Amino acid sequence: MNWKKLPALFLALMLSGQAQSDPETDYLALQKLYQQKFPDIELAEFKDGVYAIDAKMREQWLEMEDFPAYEIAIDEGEELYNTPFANGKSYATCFGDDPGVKSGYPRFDEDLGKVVTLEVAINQCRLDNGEQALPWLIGDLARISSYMAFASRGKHFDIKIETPAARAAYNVGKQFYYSRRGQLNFNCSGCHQLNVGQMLRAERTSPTVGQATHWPVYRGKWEDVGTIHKRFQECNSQVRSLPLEPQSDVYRSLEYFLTFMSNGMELNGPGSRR
Amino acid sequence: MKYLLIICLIVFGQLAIAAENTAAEATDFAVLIAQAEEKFAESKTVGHAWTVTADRLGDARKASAAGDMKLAKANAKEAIKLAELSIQQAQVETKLWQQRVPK
Amino acid sequence: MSNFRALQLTLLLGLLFAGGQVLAQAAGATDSELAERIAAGQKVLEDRKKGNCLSCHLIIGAELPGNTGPPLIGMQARWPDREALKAQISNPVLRNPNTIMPPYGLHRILTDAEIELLVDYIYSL
Repeated sequence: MNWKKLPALFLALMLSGQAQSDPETDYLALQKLYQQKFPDIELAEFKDGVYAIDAKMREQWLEMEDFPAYEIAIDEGEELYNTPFANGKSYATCFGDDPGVKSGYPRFDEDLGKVVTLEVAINQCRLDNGEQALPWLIGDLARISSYMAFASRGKHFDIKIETPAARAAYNVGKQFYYSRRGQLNFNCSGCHQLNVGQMLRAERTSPTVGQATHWPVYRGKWEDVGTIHKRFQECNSQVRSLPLEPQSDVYRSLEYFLTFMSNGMELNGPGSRR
Repeated sequence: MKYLLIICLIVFGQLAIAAENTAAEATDFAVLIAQAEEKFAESKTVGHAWTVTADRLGDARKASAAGDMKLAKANAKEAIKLAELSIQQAQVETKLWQQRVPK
Repeated sequence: MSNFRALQLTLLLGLLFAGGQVLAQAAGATDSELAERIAAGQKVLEDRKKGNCLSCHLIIGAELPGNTGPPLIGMQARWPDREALKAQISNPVLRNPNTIMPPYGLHRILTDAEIELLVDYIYSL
C-alpha cells in the first residue's frame, strides 16, 4: 500500500461514488438492454431465467417442475424451521409469524455496516439463541432457506438502497459483476448481458434480470439444494478465479447488487436447474 | 596413514561440494517459492487471485517434497508469472469495468 | 549426334523423374507430419482444460458446439495471415475490447507450441 496515494484514492472513491451510485439508473438501463435484446419477452418473465428465452428448454424444465427435486428440501426445511432451539425459542422468534421474508433480503444493516443476506440472518438467529452456525453452501441451511423461499413465493422483491454506506456496498457488487477476472478473463456481464441467451456448449446464458428470484436452487450436479453463494463460487472457479469465502463482504455485496437488479420481480424459489 | 588422511579429506571435500550444491538448489527454491507466495497473496489482496496460481504453488511444493527441484522451481516460476498477470488484470480492470455498465 | 541428343533427353527425363520422386517423397513426409500436427491441434482445441473452443465456436461435425463466437469455417481464407491468427488467439482483447474469448497466450492458458498446433488444425477447417 502506497500511503502517499491515499488521498487520491479517497478522492477517486468519492468521485466514483457520486458518478455510479445510482442503483435506480442502473436498474432502468439494464431493463432497457433486455427489452432491446428480447422485444417479445415481458421483463417479469425473466424470473424463469433462460426458460423465458428458450421454449424447448422451458418444456423440459416444466416437466421437471411437475415433480421438483427440491420438494424434499422444502419439507425438511420446514421441519428444521419449526423445531425449537435448546433455549425453547425458534426461528419465528427472529423472523415473526410469517417465514416468507425473503423479498426483503439482502438488506443493508447500518449498525453492522454490512449487507445481511437471508442465510446470514438465519445463522445469526441461531447464534443469538445459543446454537451453532450451519455451513453456508448446501445442507440444512439451504433447506431452511428453501422453505423460507417457498413461503415467500408470489411476493415481489423490495430491496432498499437508501444510505451512502448501502450504496457503497452495492457498488462493490456492481464492480465485481462487470470486472474481468480469472485466467480466462471473463466478466459476469460478458455472458449474461453482452452475449445473453447465446449457447455455451449445450447451455444458454441467463439474463442478469431475474437471476436472484429463484434461490436456493436444486442442481443435478450438486444432487442437493445450494445457496446462491455456492453458484458464485462455482462460476468463479469455472473462469479460474479463486472463489471467495461464502458470505464474505464481496459476495454479500454481489448478491445485493444482483437482487436489486431483480427488484420488483416475483419470487419463485426454490428453483431447479440442470 | 598420511595417504589415508588425504583420501579422506578429498572424499569429504567432494561430499561437501555436493551438499553445497543441493543446499544452493534448496535456497534457490526457497527464494522462488517465497516470492511466489508473496505475489499470490498480493493478487488475493487486490481481489483477483487465480485458481491456477494456487495449483502451480501446490505442484511446486509437491515436487520439492519429492526431491525434484528442477520441476519445483519451474512451477514456482510459473506461479510467479501467473500471479503477476492476475495483479495486472486487477490494475487494468479498476479502470475498464465501468465501460461495461449499460447506459 | 542424334544419338547424343537422345541420350541427353533420356538423362534429362531421368533426372526430372528422379527429382520428382524425391520431391514427392518429401511432400509425403510433410503431409504425414502435418496430419500429426493437425490431430494434435484438434486435441488442444477440444480439450476442456486447454482450448475448450467448442464452448463457443461451431465446427462442422462437432458435438454440442456453442454459438457465442463465430463458426470456425474456411479459416485459411478468413485469416490468411498466420501471425495475425496467432495474435488473435493469444490476446483477442486487442481487436475487440468486449470479447469474451480468453487470452490464451497472454494469460498462459496455452503454450506457444500448443497455439501453433491449434492454428494448424484450424487452417484445415
